[in-house]
Amino acid sequence: MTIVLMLIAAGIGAVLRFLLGQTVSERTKGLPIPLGMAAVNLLGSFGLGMFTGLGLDNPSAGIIIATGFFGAFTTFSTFSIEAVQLMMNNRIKESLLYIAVSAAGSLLVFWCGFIIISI
Amino acid sequence: MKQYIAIFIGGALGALLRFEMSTHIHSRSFPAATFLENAAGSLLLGLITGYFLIRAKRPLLTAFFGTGFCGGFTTMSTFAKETVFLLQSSPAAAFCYAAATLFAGLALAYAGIFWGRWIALRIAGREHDTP
Repeated sequence: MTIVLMLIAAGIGAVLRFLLGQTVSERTKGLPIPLGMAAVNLLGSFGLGMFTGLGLDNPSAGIIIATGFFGAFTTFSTFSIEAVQLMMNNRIKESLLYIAVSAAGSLLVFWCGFIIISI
Repeated sequence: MKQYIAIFIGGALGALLRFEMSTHIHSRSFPAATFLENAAGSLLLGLITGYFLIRAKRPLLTAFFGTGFCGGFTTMSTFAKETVFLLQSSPAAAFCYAAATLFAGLALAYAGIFWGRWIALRIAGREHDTP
């Protein structure tokens, strides 16, 4: 049962990632770095931080919410491709900024989410 | 609607494979499972991206394998969680994990784009040769 719920949570996470990514991308078109997936990854990492901060003992909840939903909502592969494509277009500075915002940003917001719930 | 179904199923399958890998690959000091998932997923998405730079777009196929499968298989939130927790026990290990993931992900995405383009160009060449 846990696995079935995990699959559904992951499917929902993936569809939400697509919808939010598309919405943010359309509204931030003129900016130097692609913000759609950056926004999704930051939001998802913050959410997982909050969920982890709850410290639930239930392993099924962890599999469904953490592995399933937040795992599928956030993505690393699109981040890699977007960073490489910026580099291939000779936009090195933008690429480094994008990497910093997405990767370092995700660590930071995860920690913020975790701390907010833990106190 | 078809596109959403493709992303839903692809995302669920990607997450299932990630879950299976994470339960079977164990290592004490290094989150090896997430590292492998993010590296392999970046290569696969690179292949898909490179291939469709040359070949005619197939939106449903890209939705299933790219947005769905690769997106669901790889994860930024678990990467963030593991790095932050590693930082508390061993900052050096956390730095190595983050650097290795970023380097492997970017290098394999780059290699994948070129490999995908190469495959697409070969197929296009063969179609051109045989009338």
